[in-house]
Amino acid sequence: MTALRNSEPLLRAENLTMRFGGITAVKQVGFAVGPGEIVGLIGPNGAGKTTCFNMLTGFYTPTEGRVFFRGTDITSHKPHAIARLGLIRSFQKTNVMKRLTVFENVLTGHYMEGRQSLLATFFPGEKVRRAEREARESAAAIVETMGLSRRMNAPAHLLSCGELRLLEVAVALAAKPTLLMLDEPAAGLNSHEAMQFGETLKTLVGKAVQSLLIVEHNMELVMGVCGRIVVLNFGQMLAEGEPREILNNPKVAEAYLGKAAA
Amino acid sequence: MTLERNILLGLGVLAALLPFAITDQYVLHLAIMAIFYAILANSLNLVVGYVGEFSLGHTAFLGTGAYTAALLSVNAGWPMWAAVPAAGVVAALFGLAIGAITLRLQGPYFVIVTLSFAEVLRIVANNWIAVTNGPMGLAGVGQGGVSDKSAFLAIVLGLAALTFYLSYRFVYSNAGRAAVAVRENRYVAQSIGVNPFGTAMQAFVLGAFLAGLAGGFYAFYISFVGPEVFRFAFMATIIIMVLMGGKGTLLGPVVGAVIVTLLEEYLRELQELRLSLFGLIVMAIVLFLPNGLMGFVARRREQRGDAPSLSPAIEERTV
Repeated sequence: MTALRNSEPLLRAENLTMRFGGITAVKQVGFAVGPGEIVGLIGPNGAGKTTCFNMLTGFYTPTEGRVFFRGTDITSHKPHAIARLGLIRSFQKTNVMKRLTVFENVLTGHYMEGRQSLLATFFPGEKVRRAEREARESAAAIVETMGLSRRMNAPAHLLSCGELRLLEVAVALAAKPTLLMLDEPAAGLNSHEAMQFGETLKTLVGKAVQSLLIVEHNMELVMGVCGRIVVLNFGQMLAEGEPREILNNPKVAEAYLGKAAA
Repeated sequence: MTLERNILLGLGVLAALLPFAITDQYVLHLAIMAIFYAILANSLNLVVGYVGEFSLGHTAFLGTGAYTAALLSVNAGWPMWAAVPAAGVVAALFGLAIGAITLRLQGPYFVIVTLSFAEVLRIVANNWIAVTNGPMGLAGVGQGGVSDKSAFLAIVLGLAALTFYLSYRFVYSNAGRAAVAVRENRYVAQSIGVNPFGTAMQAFVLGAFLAGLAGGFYAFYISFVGPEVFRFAFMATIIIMVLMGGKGTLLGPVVGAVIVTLLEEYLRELQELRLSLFGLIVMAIVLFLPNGLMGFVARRREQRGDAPSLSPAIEERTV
C-alpha cells in the first residue's frame, strides 16, 4: 500500500535482497520515498535496517534487487558517486571527524560544492576564493541552524552525545542533500532531547532537504516525526503505513513484544 | 592556518638570507642538506599526515628522481634547470602507477606493498647495469655546471619555496580537506561525496613529484647517484623527521628535518651508537609526543587558550 503524493518517488527500492554467505539479512524489501516525505524505517534489532541503508547508499551491493534515485538506477554505484547525486546518509555509530572542530567538520561537508581542478587548487582564482567564502558562510549558517553555535570552535571529541548527533546531521546537511538518510540519529539521547531533535528534523524538510528517511528505535520520535513508516522484521517487510496504522497493527506489536501468552 | 602561513613565510625570509650570511663551506653543506630533507619530509607528510596512510616506499620517488636527473645529465648533457623538473615529472608518473596499485590497500597492507616497490626499484638499479651502471652508480652528474655551494643553497631554497607553496595550497584547499576527511573517517568522507581513492591519489602524486624534485637536486648536488638512494636507511631518516616534527602539519617536517640533520651531524662522533640513539629518540617521541613537536606546541596553546588570563596576542608571541 504505497500511497505517494507524487507519481515520481525520489528513492525507490525494488525487491532488495542481501545474502552474506548462507545468511539472508534482507529479503525482497521494496519501498519508496517521495518528495516532501519523512519516512521511518523501523524494526527490532537485527531486522536488516542498517543493511538496507548500506544497500541504498552503495556501501553494500545488493545480492538482488535494484535501487533508483530520481529515476536513475544507482544499484552498483560507489558510495561517493551516490552522494554526489544528492543522497546523503549518516551512520549508526556516531561518525564525525573527531579531531576537527565543529566548524571544520561542517566546512569539510561542503566538499562537493567546492570541487575544483588541481590547477585551481594550486593557483586559486577569484572563483575558487568566492566558493571558499561561500562555503565558510554556509558552514556557519548550518552550525547555527543545528543550534551548535556555542560549540563552533570546539574539537568534536569534546562534544556531548547529543551535540555529536546534531553535528552529524550538520555535516550531512553541508553536503546539500536532496534526500537525507539518518541511521538512528537519536540513539543515546534522552526522551526530551529526542523530541527536540525531532522538531529540528521537521523544520529541515522542504527547506534544507526534500525528504528524510530515518532509521530509529525511539518510537515517540518516529511516531511524532514520520508521515509514513516501513516496518522490517527478520529481513522482510512486515508492514507499511501511517503511524496510527502501524501502532494498531497486531503483527508489529507481536514483532516487538512477542506473541500474546497462549 | 594563518599562523602556520606566517611562520612559514617568516622562515622563508630568514632562509632567503642564508646564502648571503653563510660563507663557511661546512655550514653551507648542513644548511643545504637540512632544506633538502625538509622538502623530502614535507612530501612524505602529504601522504602520512594528510591522507593518513603510512608509506614506507617514499624513497622510490626520491630514487627515480635522482636517477632520472643523473641519466639525463650524464647521457644527454641536460643542464640542472631542465633535468630537475624532468625528475619531478618522472617521479610523479611513477607515483601515478604505484599509487594506482597501492592506494587500493589500507593500513599494514599499504605499508608493506609501498616498501616492496622501493625495494624492487633498488634491485633494478643494482642489476640493470647497462642503464644504471649497477652498484657503481652514475658519477659526474652536472659536471661543468653549478658547483658553488652558495648557488646550490639558493637553488634548494627555490625548490623549498615551490614545495611549500604547493603544499600549503593543497592542504588548505577543498582537496586538502577531503584528504583529511579520508584520514579521519573514510565512511564520512564517502558519505559527503569524497572519492577516497582519487583524493589519496592527488596527495600521493604531489608527494611523489616533490620527492622527485628533491631527488633530482640531490643527484646534481652530490654529483653521484647509486642504488643506495632507494635504501631503507634514507626512508627511516625521513620518517623520523616527519614523526619528530609532527605529521599533519606543514611546519612539523621542517622542524624535524632541521633537528635530525643537525643531530645526525653532531652524533657522528658516536659512530655505531648513533643509530641506536636514533632508535631511542624515535621510541621516546612515539611514547611521549605522539603528534610530534608541533602537536605538543598545539596542545600547549590549546591548554593556554583555556586559561582566561592570557590574551591572544601574548599567545602568538610565546609560540
